[in-house]
Amino acid sequence: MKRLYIFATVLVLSCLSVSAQQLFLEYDLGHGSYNMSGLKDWFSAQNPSLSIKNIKTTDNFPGYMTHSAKIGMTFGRFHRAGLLIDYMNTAGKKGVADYSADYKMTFRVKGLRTGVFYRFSSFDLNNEVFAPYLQLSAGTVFNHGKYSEGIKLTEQGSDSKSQSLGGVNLFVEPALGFRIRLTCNFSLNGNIGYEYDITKRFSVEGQKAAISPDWSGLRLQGGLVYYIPLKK
Amino acid sequence: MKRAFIYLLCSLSLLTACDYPLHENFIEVAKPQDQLNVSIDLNAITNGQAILINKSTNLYYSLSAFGKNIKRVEFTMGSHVWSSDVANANSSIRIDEYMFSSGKYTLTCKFFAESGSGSIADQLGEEGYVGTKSWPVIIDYNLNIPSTLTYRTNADGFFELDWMQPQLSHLKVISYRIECQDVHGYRTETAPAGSGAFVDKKNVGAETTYNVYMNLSYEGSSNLLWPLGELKIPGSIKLYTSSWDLKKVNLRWSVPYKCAVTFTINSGTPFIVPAGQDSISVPVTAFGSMSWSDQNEVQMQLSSVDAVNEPLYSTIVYAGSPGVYIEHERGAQWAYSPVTGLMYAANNDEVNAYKTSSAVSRMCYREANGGFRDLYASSVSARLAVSSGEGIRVLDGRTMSLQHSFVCPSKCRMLGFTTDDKLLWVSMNGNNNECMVHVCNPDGSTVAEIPAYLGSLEVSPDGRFICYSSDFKMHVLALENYQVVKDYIWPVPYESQGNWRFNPKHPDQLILTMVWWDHKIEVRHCPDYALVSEYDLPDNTTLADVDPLTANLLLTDNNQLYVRSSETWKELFRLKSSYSIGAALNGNTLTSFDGYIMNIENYLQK
Repeated sequence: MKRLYIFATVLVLSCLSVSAQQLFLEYDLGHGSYNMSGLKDWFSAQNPSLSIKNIKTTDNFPGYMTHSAKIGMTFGRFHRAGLLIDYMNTAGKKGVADYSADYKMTFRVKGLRTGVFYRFSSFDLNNEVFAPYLQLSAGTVFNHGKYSEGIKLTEQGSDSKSQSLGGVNLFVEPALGFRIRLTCNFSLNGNIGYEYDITKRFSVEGQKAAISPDWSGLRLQGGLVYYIPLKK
Repeated sequence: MKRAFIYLLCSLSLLTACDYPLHENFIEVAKPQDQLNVSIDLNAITNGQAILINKSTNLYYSLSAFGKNIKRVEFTMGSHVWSSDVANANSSIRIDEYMFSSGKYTLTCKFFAESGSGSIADQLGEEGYVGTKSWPVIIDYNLNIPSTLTYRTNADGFFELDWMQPQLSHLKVISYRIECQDVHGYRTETAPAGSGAFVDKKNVGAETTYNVYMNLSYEGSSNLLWPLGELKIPGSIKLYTSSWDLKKVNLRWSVPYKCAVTFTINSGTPFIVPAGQDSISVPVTAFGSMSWSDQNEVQMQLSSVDAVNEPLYSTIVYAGSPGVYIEHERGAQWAYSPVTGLMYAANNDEVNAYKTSSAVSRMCYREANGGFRDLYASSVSARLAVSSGEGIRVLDGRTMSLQHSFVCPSKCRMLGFTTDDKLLWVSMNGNNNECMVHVCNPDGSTVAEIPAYLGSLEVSPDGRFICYSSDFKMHVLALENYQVVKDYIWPVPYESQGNWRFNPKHPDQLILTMVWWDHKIEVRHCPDYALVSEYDLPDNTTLADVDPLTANLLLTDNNQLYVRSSETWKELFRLKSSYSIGAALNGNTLTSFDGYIMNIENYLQK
């Protein structure tokens, strides 16, 4: 799978670079909301293995910061395409703590999103200061989850157990964005989109788990673009 | 390359730093105090320094952390550990005899009390106080530990149960529970806290077992019941024949505590005897039988003075026979020793000696599996001889100690002592009633052996004559030095032959009971058959016994007993008797099969 993925990436880059006029690198910082309904239901149904009072759910897989990096090519005045890599994470937690101990159940979920994007604008992306665009991204989300439960006693030590999960989702994300050129090499970028996970999967030790992460949700991002001319 | 690596590290750090931050749910809980007060109460008997144990014991304990929850309790003594996963601050440990030998031990209690702070560690049982307490223990199974309960008759004459107030620290006595078990059942009484005594007006003296418990309050709730002690009080009510004469039998009773005494005689009207009276009289019915139909039924009921109509104790005795009833001598063989002046009774495994005047047992010879049968007393020494399944025992009648013991064949019976203190016993040969009369010394050594026949075999007390019946003829053997010198055949028709006894006072006289048409008693001289005297027996009257001391005859017609002189034939004594009582006369003392004994010496006509 990995080999196929690397081969496809190299092939896309090679094909694009043949007719590319401009290479650009883009970093966006944003916020994503995550559906995670399956994980929320499962996590809320989990009972602590220790009988302790005042346990409360403090975190229930909320939306959180996303990091996004893109490398792409410019084709003509209206088309751009390339590769993307995004990082998303969220977590759920139940627990209670006092002076004597800290007891918690946590389920931290991370997603490393990789794929391709295509960006189209009816404005001249090379020359206009402000250029809105449409963007479609697709690819895979490499999931990693870790469920742990543990207690740490102030005077008697600690005890914990954990379980790791893995899996891959397929996604598509349509987005609407804009670009504001600052200099000939730098632009500001912003977009809003919606990620929809077509398939969702978590597996434990090679076996499909009953739960799966659903990263579907709004994506609001903004960042900086750096252009590298390829043809003079 | 180096710069790229730095950029990569920075990127990874940035990514890592951007993991979603988890939130805390921190609860403010007050920390517990550093030390805890714990109290332990033990339900144990001590000598002031150590716990004393002299039998298998349930040792009750109670731990209090004054509101804190006791999580674990562990007792150790020697190598034994009593522990429980289920914390129980109020329980007991069992100290069994088979677990601990006598010796000195240390009983240690380790406990863990929860802090009660409500913190997570407290909820998990990981926060609390650990403590230890020890006591010296002395285990001695031979140790006599005074009972914690005592009793007495109080100033008002009632039964009073007393106990010491327990020394407790955190437990509080709410009340005392007194359980009483007697022959009439079980009842429960309550005594208030602070009391050290209980007056039981319902105890009239019957055997009663008292168990006293403490109702204890533990941390505000009354849910503990600890035993304080057990006391078994033997029954001390007595109703017995105290004296008698030929017209009435006096019954005396003794009751240890103040109560009302009611008597009902022969299902008549009950009557309450006045305070201070301790005896009543009933008329004489008949001598010798323990059968209720031959006696007066005397029912004695005891009740509390506060509730006379509610009997607390009832007993029925049957009285009416003069003399003294000795229940355990039923079926005994009796003998009288003129040397010691005592009556002796052989019964199963015992030979008892009694004073003829009081019939109170003085001494006893006991032998396991004795199976004693025949009993004879020497007329010239204090010796007794009793036959058992294995042989003959010769006892000293004064001390009831064994003098000699020797084996004889299983098919043997004793005939008694001679006036020169030789012991006579007879062994069966098996055919035609042939037997051998053995004359031996008290140690069993043989003096002589005389062939004879079993039919009505008798040997004269002086050892000079043997009389028996064989081939329908009555033989009288004349002996010299226990050797047969001549066999005399007396002309007594077989159909007239009743029974015969040698006269104890005149060994050369034979007392013959003649039956059939000659219903009389003849006294004839040996060996010449000369008639000394004779007496016509009334109808239905038979010779029951001849007193070996006086040679008086005991006659019976199954309704009355008669004692007649064998010399003058004068009736010396007469007494109504029950039917077929197995009466015997020894040393002026009447006995019956059922165990009645009556000395008639003072009633004999002079």
